[in-house]
Amino acid sequence: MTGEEQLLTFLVAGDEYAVSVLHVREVVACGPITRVPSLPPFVEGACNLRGSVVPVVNLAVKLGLPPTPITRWSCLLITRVEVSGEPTLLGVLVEEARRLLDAGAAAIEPPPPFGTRVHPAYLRGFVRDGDRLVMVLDLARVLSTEELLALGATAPILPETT
Amino acid sequence: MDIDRDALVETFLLEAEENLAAAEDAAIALESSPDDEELVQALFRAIHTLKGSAGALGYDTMAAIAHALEDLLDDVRRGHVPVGAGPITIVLEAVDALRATVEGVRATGSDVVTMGATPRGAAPALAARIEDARQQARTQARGQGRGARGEAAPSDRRGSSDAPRALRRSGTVRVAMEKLDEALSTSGEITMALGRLEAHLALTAGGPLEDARQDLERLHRQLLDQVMALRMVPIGPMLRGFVRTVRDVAQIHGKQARLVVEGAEITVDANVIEALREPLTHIVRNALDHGIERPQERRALGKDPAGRILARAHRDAGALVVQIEDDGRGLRRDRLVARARALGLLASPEHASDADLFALVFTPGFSTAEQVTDLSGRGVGMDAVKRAVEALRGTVSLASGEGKGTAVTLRLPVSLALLDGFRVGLDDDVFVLPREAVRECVPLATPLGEGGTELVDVRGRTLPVVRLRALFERGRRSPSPQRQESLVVLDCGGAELGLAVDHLYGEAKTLIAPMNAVLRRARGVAGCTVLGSGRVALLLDVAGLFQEALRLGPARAGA
Repeated sequence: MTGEEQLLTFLVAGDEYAVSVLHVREVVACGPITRVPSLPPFVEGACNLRGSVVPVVNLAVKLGLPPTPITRWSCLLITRVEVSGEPTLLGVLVEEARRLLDAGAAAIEPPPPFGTRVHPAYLRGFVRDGDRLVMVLDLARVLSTEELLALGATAPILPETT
Repeated sequence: MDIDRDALVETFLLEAEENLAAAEDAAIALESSPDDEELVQALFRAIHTLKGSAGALGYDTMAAIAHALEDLLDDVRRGHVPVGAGPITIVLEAVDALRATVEGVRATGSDVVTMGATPRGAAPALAARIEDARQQARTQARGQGRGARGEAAPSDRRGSSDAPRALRRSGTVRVAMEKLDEALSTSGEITMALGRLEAHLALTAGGPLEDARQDLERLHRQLLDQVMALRMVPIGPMLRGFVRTVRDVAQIHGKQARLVVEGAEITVDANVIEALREPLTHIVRNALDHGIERPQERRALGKDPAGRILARAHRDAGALVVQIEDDGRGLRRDRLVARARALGLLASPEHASDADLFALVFTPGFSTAEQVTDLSGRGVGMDAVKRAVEALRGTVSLASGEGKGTAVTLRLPVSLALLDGFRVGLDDDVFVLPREAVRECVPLATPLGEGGTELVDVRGRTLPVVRLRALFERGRRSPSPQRQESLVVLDCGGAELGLAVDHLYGEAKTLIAPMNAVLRRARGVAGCTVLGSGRVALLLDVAGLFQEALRLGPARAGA
C-alpha cells in the first residue's frame, strides 16, 4: 500500500485545501501573533510555540488570496523548512483545520492548467471527496526557501513616503 | 564499550586542548624570561601528560610528535639545550601541529591529518625535525660549553600512570554550553508558567496561594541569576590567545611587538567571548599591520623598538568594555581627509572633527592602508568589525593620536541571553529596548504627523523622532487612532533619537530567545523574547532605527 497517503485538510479564504500530513509536525490553536517589521506581507508575525519563537506565514496572502483574519478557529500548521541549510520551524496560518483524508497517490488528479484560484505551480493536484474537490498544495513549493530568503533582504525598516 | 570510549576521548580532547594552551603560554613566556625553570617544568608537564594520554588511546601521530617534543624539552629542563628563539619556535610549531591532530580527532576520529599549520610536512617529518633541532642545539651548546641549568635536576618522568584521569581538579566540573543554554530556556518557560499562574491567581484574592506564588517567583529569580552566573567565564584566556598571534605575525613581518593583557579576571557570558574572538582578531591584526612601526623607525622616533599592544577588559555601568590600544603611528588625519574627499563622505572633510573623521574608518570600503597586505587586507575591514559588534548589541569607537597610537573600544552587554530591558507598547504588542539606551521618557505634547521621521523639540534639544507605528505601516496609510503617545529618548552612541510609542511599561529583566533564520532577516529587530503572558515581544535594534532615522530624517522634516 505504498500509494496510500494521508492528507490534512483546512480552510483558506473559504475554500478547502489539503497538504500531506507528512509535512505537518503538529496543528496548534493560533495564539497571539506579534507583528514583525520589514518582512514581506505574507509573514503575519511571530508566535510562541512552547517557549520558542516561530514566524507565522499567512497562507492566504502567500497564495494571493484575501488575507485570513484571525478568529477563534484559526490554526497554525507547524512545519519545518530549511533556510540556508538551517532547519527552521514555521507556523502556517489557516482559517480552520478540517479533517484527515485517506488518498491513494492515484487519487490525486493533476491540477487543471487554469481556472484555479491558486497559481498551478503551488498545486500538486486535487482529490475528489464525494462531490467536492479539494486542492492539494505542494507545501514545499509554497514555502520555497528562495522566497523566504528574499525576506527583508533589502526592505528598509521605515517606509518611504508615497 | 563504545560509549565509554567516546566519553574518554571527549575528556582527553578537552584536556589536550588545555594542555596545549598551557604549553603555548609557557613557551611564549619563556621567550621573555628564559631562566624561569617553573615555565620549563610547566611546558614539559603539559606535553608529557598529553603524550601519555595520546599513547594510551592509540593516537600514535600525536604521541610521536609529543614524544619528540618531550625529549627536546627534557634536554632544556636538564640544561643541555639553552632556551632561545630556536627551540621556542619549533615548540610552538609542534604545539600547532598537535592542535591540528586534536582537531582531526574531533572531526574525523583520526589523528592522522594533513597539517595546514605546518606546511613543511606531515607528523613523522615534524618529529624528525624536532629531533634534529634537539641534536643540533645540543651540539651547539656543548661547543659553547654551556650547561648552565646543571645536570642535577632530578628526573620527574612519571610513567604512563598519570594517563587520562577525568576531572582531576576537585570541586570543578566541565559543562557543555548547550546544557547551560537548555537550563536557561527551561528557566524562560518557568517564567511563562509563573505568568499564567499569576493571571489565574489574580482572579482569586490573595491568600496562601498568592504567597506561595510570590515565593516561587522570588526563588525562580534567584535560580535565574545562578544559571547566568554559571555561564560567566573570565575573558583572560581569550585575550591571552592574542599574545601568540601578535608574536607570530610580528616576527613574520619584521616587527617587534608584544601584547599585554589587563583585566583577565573580568567575567563575561561564554557566548559573548566566542562572538568577540573574530572582531578582536581583526582589530589586533590591524594594530600590528597599520599601527606598530618597524623597529628602526620606532628607534628613530625615540620609541621602544618593540611595540606594545594592550588588550584591556573592564566593566563599566553593567557593560563589558574591551579596548585594544597600540603605541604605533596612529591614524593620519591628512590621509583620512583625502580618503573622505575621494569617497565624497563628508561635506568639508578638512574642517571635520577628529571624532567624525575616525568614525569614517567603520564605513564599508574605507581603508587608508596604502597597500593590501596579507594581514588585514582580507576584505573584512573595520566595517565588518562594526557589524559583528552591533550584532552583539554593542558599540565600537576609535580614538587615535598621530604618532602616539590608536585605541579601539568595544562596549558590549555582559550577556547575550539576559538583558536589562525597558518595555514599551504599541497597541497590544510589547517591544523591548536595552535599558542602557533609554535616557528619559517624556509625554509627547503635539501629535506627530503621519510620516516616518520628523524633528521634535524636547526641552530645547531637537531630536529626530521615529514613530514605532511607522515600522508597521509599509504600503498602507491607515489613519492611526489619536491617542496619547509618549516619547522615549534613546542614546545611540552619543546621539539622541526619539521613539514615539503608545505605552510605557518600565524596566524588566528579559531573557532573549534565539532568533529563527526567518526572523533574523527582519530589520530593526535585534532579538525576541517570550513574555510571562506567553506573547512574543521584539527587542528593537536601536542603532538600526537610528540609521533609518538619519536616512529619512533631514529630507523628511516637514514633509
